Amino acid sequence: MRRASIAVLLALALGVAPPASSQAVKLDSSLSAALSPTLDAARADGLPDAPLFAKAQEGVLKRAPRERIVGAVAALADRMRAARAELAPNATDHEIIAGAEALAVGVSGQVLRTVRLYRPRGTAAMPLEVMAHLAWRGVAPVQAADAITRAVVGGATTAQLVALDASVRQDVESGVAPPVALTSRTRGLTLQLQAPSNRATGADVAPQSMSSSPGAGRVRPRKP
Amino acid sequence: MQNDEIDSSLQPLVDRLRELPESDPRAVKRVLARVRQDDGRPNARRRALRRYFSRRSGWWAAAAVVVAAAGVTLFARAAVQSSNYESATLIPAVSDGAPTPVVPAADSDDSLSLERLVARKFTIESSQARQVSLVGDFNQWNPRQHRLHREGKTATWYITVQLPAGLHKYAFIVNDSVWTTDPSALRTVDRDFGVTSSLVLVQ
Repeated sequence: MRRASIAVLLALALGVAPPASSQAVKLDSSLSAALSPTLDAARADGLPDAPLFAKAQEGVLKRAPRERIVGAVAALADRMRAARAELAPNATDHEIIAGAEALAVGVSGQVLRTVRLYRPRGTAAMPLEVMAHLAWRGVAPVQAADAITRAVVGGATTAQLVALDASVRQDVESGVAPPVALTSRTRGLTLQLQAPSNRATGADVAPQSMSSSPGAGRVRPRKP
Repeated sequence: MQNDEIDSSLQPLVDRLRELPESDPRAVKRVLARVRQDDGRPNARRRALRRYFSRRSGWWAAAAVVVAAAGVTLFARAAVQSSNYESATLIPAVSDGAPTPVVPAADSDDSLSLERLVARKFTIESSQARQVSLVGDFNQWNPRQHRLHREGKTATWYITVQLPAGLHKYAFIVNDSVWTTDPSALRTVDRDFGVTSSLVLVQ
């Protein structure tokens, strides 16, 4: 009976474990050695190393030269450090990655701090990702950041931000210019946020501590 | 092997082997009596289970059941939470001078912000493809992890992947060599390596 039980456990383990082919492709030894200082420093700083490995793998797959891969990984580590500082004091790994992407497309550190003010730990990633997505769609990073920041300050939920992004996409696909689409859809969202029912239900998230952000003087967090 | 393929000289032996052995009528009676006895005891199965789990080895089986239940629960959660981009509620557009639209109420739940997996289907049309892989930041750009499946004999290749909510860059690799972006998705020029990727916002 015991043997049968162990066999069942083994079978389950085999079924749950990823196949061998799902393991990441190994970096060659010279690239690993070149990346080692960057990765070690990132780990020492408490940054997640998975995105850095992914960036290196991406470079290998795209057949980039070693120096370029090392440079790209180092630049990403720097952006992640900056994002974590702006999203202090308690950014999650997902938020750090989202913040780094937002910085990469041209969103300012001030915007990250503002989002942090209004979004507690674990909920700042999607607003930043929507900003980056809008920027990639053709909206100027400043406009994307302004629209999403206003929406966040106005109490928009993540679902509403995602809906805003989807609405802009729909408009752009039907021929509307991205900045025009974002402007009109942002107005729609503003009206939605000003509707009495939304005021009654209040915010989905609580504001962060004012003391943690140098940008506190520029915006007023909502009351909890 | 069919009967007509059997050599005629072997046929008597085959016929002999196919004959059922005679059963012992006393053994049949004993089995039937035991079956009737069990039918009259509805708790027999429960007692057997209790006996089973009271043994030391039963803990292993119990652990296996817990592991299996956890796996099923995780799978079910991911399936329930799965959604796609196209299903997102849209925000009304408002231009200058337009009347105020009737707007739906915002949900007070911010569950979309939680770290979670979302099922996302990727498809690509390629009549030349013999093999298509999906690579992206979600699988460490590993072309061996997510192989697309061909839809019958059509040119459509597809795969459904559980992705963490958020923004992801990805591409297809056709025949292990041709870098191909998703024509249905937003494209990004990679500043680091100069190669275009596709972009998806999973929510």
